[in-house]
Amino acid sequence: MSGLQFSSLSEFLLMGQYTFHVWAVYFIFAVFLTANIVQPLRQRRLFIKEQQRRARRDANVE
Amino acid sequence: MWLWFAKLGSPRWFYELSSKWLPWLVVVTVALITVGLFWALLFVPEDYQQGHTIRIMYVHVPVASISLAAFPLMAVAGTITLVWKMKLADMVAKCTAPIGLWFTGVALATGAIWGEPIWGTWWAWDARLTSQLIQFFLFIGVIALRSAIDSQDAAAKACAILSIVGAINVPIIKYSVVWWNTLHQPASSYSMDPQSANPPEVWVPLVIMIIGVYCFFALILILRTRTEILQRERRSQWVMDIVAQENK
Repeated sequence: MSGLQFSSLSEFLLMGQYTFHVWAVYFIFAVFLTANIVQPLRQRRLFIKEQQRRARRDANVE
Repeated sequence: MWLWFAKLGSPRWFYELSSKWLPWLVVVTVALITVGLFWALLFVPEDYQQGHTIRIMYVHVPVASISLAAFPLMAVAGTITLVWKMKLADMVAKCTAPIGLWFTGVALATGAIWGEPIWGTWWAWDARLTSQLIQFFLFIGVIALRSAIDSQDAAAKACAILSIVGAINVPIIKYSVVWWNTLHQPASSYSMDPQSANPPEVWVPLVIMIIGVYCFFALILILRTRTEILQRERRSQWVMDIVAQENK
């Protein structure tokens, strides 16, 4: 494995002349990972809540 | 063999089995992607031609290659749905579509950002780019088709057929770089040979990222499928028990 490629934080953040390109791609990747974890978890929570509301309503009717 | 097959098709069996394996999959996915990202961002040497944009490869290549696995998966699940009427297969097919759309979209977007400094253009009607764009629209088509048909069984059949027919595009994307030598370069080889263009410090982190993103794909597909199972089986007792146990 080759060593650390940057000697300072600012050099790392700058990414040579490609600051925008590199960080835009990693930003998209971060959004992609987050959205695809949040979406299924949210779907599941909504389903459980809906079913619990339904169960309570049915219990009240009886 | 047939008993095993019938069991595998049982949504409840899949749900319970995946409950056991999910934590391990999360650990493996997080570990691989974390290692891969640190390696790609901090340790991969700057490319002599494209400088730091080499780091874009560690996002673009894994996402793009797995976007090619999603459509065949949907076509296989569709075939199983049509031939054996397995309910679980249709649930997997349904959950694959939005994930495949995400992967294809991110592959196109990151590819455009990489293309701008390296090729001098965000977009070109190159064979690889165009066939990948067609895949993007095919995923939208499958999702729209399913939401347009009210009957669950009819939607399952229609989507299965569209997925099988649409899968013809996958080998076109895969071999577009060989058949039409336009802009997008063919896949580079992975080799231990020191004379090779890609030394291990370049391709090892790439392999780690590819496996990590594959695990991520499996993880989010299982998560979505589990909710789909609960929704379709909501009237059975075992789902009601899960709903009742969950925190209010």
